[in-house]
Amino acid sequence: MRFILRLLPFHNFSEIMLKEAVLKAEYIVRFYYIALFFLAVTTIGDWSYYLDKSAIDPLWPIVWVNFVDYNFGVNIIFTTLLIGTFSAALFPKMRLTRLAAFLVLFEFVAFDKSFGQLAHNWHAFVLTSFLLVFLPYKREGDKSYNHNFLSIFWGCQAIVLLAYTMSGVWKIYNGFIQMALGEIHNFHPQAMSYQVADRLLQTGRTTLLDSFIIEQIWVGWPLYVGAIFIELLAFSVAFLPSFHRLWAFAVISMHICIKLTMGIGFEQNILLIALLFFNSPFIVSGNRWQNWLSKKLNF
Amino acid sequence: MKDTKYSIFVIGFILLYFLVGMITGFLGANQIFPFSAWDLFEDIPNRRNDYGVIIMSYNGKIVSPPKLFQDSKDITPEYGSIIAYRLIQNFGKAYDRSDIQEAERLRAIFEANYMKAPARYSLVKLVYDPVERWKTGKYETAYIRVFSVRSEAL
Repeated sequence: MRFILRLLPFHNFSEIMLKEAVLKAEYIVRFYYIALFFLAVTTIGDWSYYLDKSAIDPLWPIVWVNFVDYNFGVNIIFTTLLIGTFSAALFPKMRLTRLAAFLVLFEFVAFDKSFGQLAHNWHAFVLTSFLLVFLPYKREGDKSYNHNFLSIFWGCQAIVLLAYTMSGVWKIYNGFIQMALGEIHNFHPQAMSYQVADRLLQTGRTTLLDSFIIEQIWVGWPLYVGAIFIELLAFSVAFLPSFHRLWAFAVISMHICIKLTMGIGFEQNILLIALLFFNSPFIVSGNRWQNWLSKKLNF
Repeated sequence: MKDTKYSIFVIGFILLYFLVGMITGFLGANQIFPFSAWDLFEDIPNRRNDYGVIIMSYNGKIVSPPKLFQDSKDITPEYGSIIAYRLIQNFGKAYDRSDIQEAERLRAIFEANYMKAPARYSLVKLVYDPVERWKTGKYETAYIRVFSVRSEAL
């Protein structure tokens, strides 16, 4: 455990550096809850859509919907989502409001995924909002506050990165299995053509770059292998703050590319990654990825 | 001496999330929200053995030629719903393994949410190469069963 603790990016921070990093992280947390409230407001458009549905296949957190009037359940979920996230945006330093924001988001996402498909667009927000409930209170003379605050904040970054790595691990694992079976696999030049065509046939939709990416396999190939590489190595970035901005840029570009080809929007993740990594509190002056690389390569 | 209990809690949570996700993924078990294996687009669909819904009549009108749900832009605004697609897959799989109770439950959800008017449709099995189907529209079908929604019989 001591070895892992030593890997945390703020392990060697001086008191002044810790203070500066916490100041940045506190601002990011404040913006996090404003962003969450904004996203909650954008769901208002779905409110009537869900009222129009009449059959539900509830995930475990919302089985209670089966025991109340369906429309009443929907109204409760959407109303509490707005109130809970609004209160956290107003008072992000209060644990009670952060807990409320997590609970209402947890219920909303469980509801949103209770119609036949467990999509993952909200998962990262649910996980990070859970961790943020545990942010420490600031008490006079509490010397461990800065370290504890940054531990939770780092946890938020790490859990988001872990999800990408897990996704990359499955692609590598199944890639080798399909390669052994002689099938088109994840490292094959046609991999992206197959994924895009398959997804668009499932939805009957078209996208801006669908024909181009299905036909031009030599464009899709490096993009697809590059995406696997970005995903697989994501978790290591948690320990390398100099790569935070670069990785965030790469993964956001990947999501934009997926939207333009497969039509899948991961807008919530784009917002969250921009919040957590563009101005990461662990990036200190001179701590750039170029410097890290030249040090490792002895330039 | 630094207070490390927050760091240990965070590392423990991350480890737990990883283990639960990967184990459920390897066992092919249902995901326990909010845990997830994150096995998204993990393999390449070389040849699909899918299920589909072909609409034969809707709201008193014969659909000629019958159309796949995903191609029914002029019939339902939800033709492109990936949720409907997944529901149809689970509905078809349940029928194929003769789990009639589960199939009927999923059918009821599908019809209540996506077939808002009286309709007649077939549940079919589709076999295709995704790139070939995307380019040529070709796929093989095998009919499983015909259903009527709210007594639409034509």
